[in-house]
Amino acid sequence: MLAAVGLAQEHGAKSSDKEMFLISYESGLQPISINRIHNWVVHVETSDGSPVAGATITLIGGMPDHDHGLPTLPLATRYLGDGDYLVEGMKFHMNGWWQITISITVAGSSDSVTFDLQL
Amino acid sequence: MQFPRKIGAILAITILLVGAALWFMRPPAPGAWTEAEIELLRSLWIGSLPPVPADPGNAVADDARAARLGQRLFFDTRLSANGEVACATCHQPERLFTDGLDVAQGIARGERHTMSIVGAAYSPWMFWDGRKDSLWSQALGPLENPIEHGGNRKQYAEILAADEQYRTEYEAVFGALGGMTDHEPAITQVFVNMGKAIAAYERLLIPADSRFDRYVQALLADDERQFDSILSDDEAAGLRLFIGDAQCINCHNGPLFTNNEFHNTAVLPARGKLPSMGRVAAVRETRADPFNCLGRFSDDPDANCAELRFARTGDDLIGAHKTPSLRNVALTAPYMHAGQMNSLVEIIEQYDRAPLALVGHNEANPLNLSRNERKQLEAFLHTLSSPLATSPEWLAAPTAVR
Repeated sequence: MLAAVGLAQEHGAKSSDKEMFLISYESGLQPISINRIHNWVVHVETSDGSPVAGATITLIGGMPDHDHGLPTLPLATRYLGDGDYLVEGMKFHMNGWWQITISITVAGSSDSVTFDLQL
Repeated sequence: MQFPRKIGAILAITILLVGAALWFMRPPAPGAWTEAEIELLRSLWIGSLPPVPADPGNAVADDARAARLGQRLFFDTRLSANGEVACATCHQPERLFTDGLDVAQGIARGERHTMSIVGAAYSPWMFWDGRKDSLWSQALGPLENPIEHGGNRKQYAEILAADEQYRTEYEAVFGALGGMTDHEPAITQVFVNMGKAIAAYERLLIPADSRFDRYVQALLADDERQFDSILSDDEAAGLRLFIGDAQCINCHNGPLFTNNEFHNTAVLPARGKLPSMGRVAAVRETRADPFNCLGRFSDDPDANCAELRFARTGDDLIGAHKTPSLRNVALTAPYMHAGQMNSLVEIIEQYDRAPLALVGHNEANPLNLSRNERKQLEAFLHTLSSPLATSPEWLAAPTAVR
C-alpha cells in the first residue's frame, strides 16, 4: 500500500556469525513496504557455495529503537530446493530501522545472521 | 586607534557568524518540504488509500443488496435483549460512528470505548485487542454479548424469518431462509449471514478528504499559492512534528493514520479498573473462534489467512492496544481503549512524557516538546476532520424499517 521511504536494505549474501553459512533473502514484496503481509525466500549455502538442504530456519525481527518485535511470527513453511526456503508471514508495521535475525540449524549445528533494514 | 578597529572587526565577524548560525538554524518555512517529507505526506494522503481490500471469506462483501440488508440490521433495535440496542446505538452516524461516551453503553455499561468503524474494512484485526479477524466475524460478537445487544442467534433468526421485508431481502442474497428456527446449524448459518450483510454495509463507510488532504494534494500539484493558504503556519508546523520529531507517524501511518497493529503506550487503565492485557490475551481467542478466517463459515476454504496463521503474541504485546485511525480525531472524543482521555491535549502530553507502563513496557520515548510545539501538534490534528465519502442514504436508518 505504501512505498517505503528511504529504502536501504541489506540483503545480499552475508556470512553467518560463525561463518558456517552464506545467507541471503529475497522479498516477495518489492520494494518492501509497511502494513503488507508477504513472503520471503531465504537462501542458505555453505561458505564454499553449496546449497544447504534439510535446515531448520527460524526468523525473528524487531526495531531496536522501539524495543518491539515484528507484528507477526513468520515461519519457514517449505523447502523449495537449491538451498531456498519459503518464509511466510513477514510484515512490517512501521518505517524505520529493523533487524531481522535468521537462525539456521543443520544436523545439530546452529548459526545465525542479522540483517539490517531501513524502511 | 588600532584597538577600536579591532573590536569593530571582531564585532562585525561575530554578528556575521551569529546571523549565519541563526539563518541555518531557522525553522523551515511552513510550506518547505524535503523530497523525503513529501513522500511521507503522500503516504498519509487520502489519495493513497487503495480500494477496500477484498474479503474472500465473505462472498457478499461487495453485493449492494447485502449492504442494504446489512444497513437495515445495523439500525434495528429489535436485535437486542430489550428491543433498545442496535449497532447504531454505539456507532452513531452523526458522531462519525462513535458514541461520545467513555465506554460503550448497550444493555449494560461496557469495558471498552466504542471505536469508529469508518475505514475498519482496511484492518486485518477488529476490536481494541484484535480478537476478531474480519468485519463479518466482528459484527457477530456484540450481537450475543450479554452487555451489548444481549440477545442470541435463535432470537435474531426468528425476527428475520417473521419479518416479510427481512425475509425477502435475505433470501434474495443468501437463498431460502426455510423454517429453521429450531435447527441449530441453520440458525448459526443465518447468524453468520447477518454478520456478512452488516460487513457489506460497513465496507461502504470510508472517510472523505480533509483539509490536510487538500493541502497535500495542492503540494503534490506544485500549487504553492493554494497549499500555503490551506493550513495555517501552526498547523503546518504541527504536521512537520507529526511526521518528524514527535514520531506520531511511527504508528499512525498510511492514509487512515493507523497501522492497525498493537502498541503499549502506557495509557493508564480507567479509574478503578485493572490494566487491560490487550493484544497478548487475544490471539488465542481468535485462533479458537469458529468464525475466524480458517473456520468453516468462511466462504473461501482456500483462503491464505496469513494474518491469522502467523499472528504473534509475546511480552512486548502485554498491554498493547490497536492504533486507532486519527481521521476525525478532533470530533470523536473521548479517547483510548477505555475512554480514559478526554482531550487531544491530554494525549499529546501523554506521548510527550512517555511515562512507565503499569503492565508491559511503554514503546514510546519522551519527546520533550515545547508548549508551543504541543499546541502546533494539536492544531494539526484538527485538520484531519472530514465528512464521509459515503453517499448520505447510507448514513441513517433505511426508511422502511419497522
